[in-house]
Amino acid sequence: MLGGYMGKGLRVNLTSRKSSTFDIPEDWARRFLGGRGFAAKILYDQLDAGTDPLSPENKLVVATGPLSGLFLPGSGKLTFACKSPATGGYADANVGGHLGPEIKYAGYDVIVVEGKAAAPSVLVIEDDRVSIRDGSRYWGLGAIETEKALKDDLGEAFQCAVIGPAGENLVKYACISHDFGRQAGRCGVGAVMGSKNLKAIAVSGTRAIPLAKPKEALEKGKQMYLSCFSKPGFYEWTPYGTAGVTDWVNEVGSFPTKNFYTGYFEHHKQINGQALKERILVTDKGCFGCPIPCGKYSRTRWQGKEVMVEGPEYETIAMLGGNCCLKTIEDVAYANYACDELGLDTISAGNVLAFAMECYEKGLLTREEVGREIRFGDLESVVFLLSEIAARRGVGALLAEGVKVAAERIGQGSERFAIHVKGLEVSGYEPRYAPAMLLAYMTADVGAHHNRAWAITYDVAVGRDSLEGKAEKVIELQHIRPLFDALGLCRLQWVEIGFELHHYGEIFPLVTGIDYGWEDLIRASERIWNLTRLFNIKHIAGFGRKYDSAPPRFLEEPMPSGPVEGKLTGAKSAEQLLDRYYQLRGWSPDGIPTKQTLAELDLIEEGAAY
Amino acid sequence: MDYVSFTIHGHAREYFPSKERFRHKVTGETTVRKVLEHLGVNPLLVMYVVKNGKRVSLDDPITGGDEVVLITPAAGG
Repeated sequence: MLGGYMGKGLRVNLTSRKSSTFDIPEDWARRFLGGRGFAAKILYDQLDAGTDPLSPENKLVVATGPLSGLFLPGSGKLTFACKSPATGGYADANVGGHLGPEIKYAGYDVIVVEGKAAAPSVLVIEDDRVSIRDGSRYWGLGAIETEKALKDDLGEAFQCAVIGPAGENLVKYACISHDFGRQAGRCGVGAVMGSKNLKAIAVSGTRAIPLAKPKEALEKGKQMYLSCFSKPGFYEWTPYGTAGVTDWVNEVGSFPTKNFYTGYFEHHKQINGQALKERILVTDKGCFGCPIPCGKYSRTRWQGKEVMVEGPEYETIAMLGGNCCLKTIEDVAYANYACDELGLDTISAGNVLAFAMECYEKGLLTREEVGREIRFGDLESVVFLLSEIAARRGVGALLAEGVKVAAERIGQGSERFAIHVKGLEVSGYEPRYAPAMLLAYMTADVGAHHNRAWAITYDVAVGRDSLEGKAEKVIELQHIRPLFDALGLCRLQWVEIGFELHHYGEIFPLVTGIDYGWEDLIRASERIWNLTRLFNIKHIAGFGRKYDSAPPRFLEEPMPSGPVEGKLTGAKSAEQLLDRYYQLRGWSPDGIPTKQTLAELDLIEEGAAY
Repeated sequence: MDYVSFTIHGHAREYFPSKERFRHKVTGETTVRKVLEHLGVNPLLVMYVVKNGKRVSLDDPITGGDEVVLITPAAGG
């Protein structure tokens, strides 16, 4: 038996109310590692091409990694995956907190949720005791209050994943929440959970994780912690967390502002990390095993109501702050709280709200259609729209579909400022004059998401006019960053404090007994990347190059203001980057992996149909 | 002739010619921006600067004996 893995998966069918376990094949561990790798393998093999993402036939895969729950930095990450209702393609979203380790302690590497419960339900797992319980008393509650109620009912030992009203109402960017403010945010995983009438998953476990070389793994884990603590600037980064990058993104002219109209927000110093720390911060908050707690727990007040919120993180500051033009950290924090309680992804929500506000400014949505005036910079507009969306009420029913579908229905040129790739709203970096970042968004497997390749520092380092080396860097990052999601780890130790990557290659064999080094792990990550590509080819009719395109605003409109005013990478350069990217990946000019590439990656069985 | 001690923080240090920690020889007063330009590093790769434990700007004066931490950008959330 391999170390690091519990060796079992749990399959729960909500329609039949039956559960069973299955063995995790050792071949999966060697080829797909775990986490998003296991999720991609299960979904690719077990979902038919025509599966409706919101039907009982879709599966929600909850996947830990082989390094989850162990004594090493950032080992608290967990992946939720399914066929996305936002894109129709492969989806995964990861979350920190404590649930991933708890699932391992309960004895499972993955949980596969199938079917649809007849009534609102809660899946409760206590080691090998699995029950599907009545969840009607929680239905309709906010995500945070649901988690609190579950802890009250089941006990503090349970770690819970929950959805809010947005997930219940199948909003296509509903998230799954955990640990009172952490979210598996992207791709509509919360809507898939809601489509199964599943309000929550609660897990408590008591088992130990087997290790191939326990003494050596423990010693290496200790070394890794000590190395993190000794990093220069360790004490400088933590006080601000991810919010600390806000000023920098403005300085390089890439801060999403007014529906990505421009890349500089003049009020950025009122919503940055310093404002957060000085005006609303209560305490830091970390995930399982984290040496650098980036979570910031804050207090804010609006219209006489005081609320607590984890955040705002940088992405929320960018998308609800700059993109919706909220001018104070207090307003951003309140909008963050509203999203968290309703169960909405703040990235997509900020994008959708800004799209709606621009439509309103241009007269494409009227006061009668919306139900009131909405405008940029107005928290009342933001809170109003968020509630309408989560309830799918009025204009909210349209906006709940995301910007791609909303623009298709509104028409009248609104498609030009619907900011998405593959149907997933773009996250917090304006890429029109950052070629590597632009390519990263265009080619991300789940749609536009910074966590696949955050390449903007490379653009700044080597020059933003140059295309040279950009495709190479994007591919390198697309293998490193999602690898953390396969291993069940947080990547921020590497990103934020420069913790060296070789450590992960050194601890992996000590934990698992698989004789892999860093390069083998990267090769596995490349295999997973090609498998998610195959998933998209299987599930999206005509999938190929045209899906790897950027919104017209990014390709055709020079930056109107800020530090890079007048600058634009442009459509022709974007196509050149894509050509180079496909060539390097071993894909056809239409973006399809060749037989030779699949064979080299040991994906012959999976690629047989293509 | 004196030295300023620099440490670089975050993944973007891979774009610096030096390692995680280095010493830079200075004559009199200079700035972090000038040192970075001398090294051929785009100053925009530094998110913020900490000199002797306090946040300063790229253009604040530094002199021999100072300990400077350069925080490179980080993404998340």
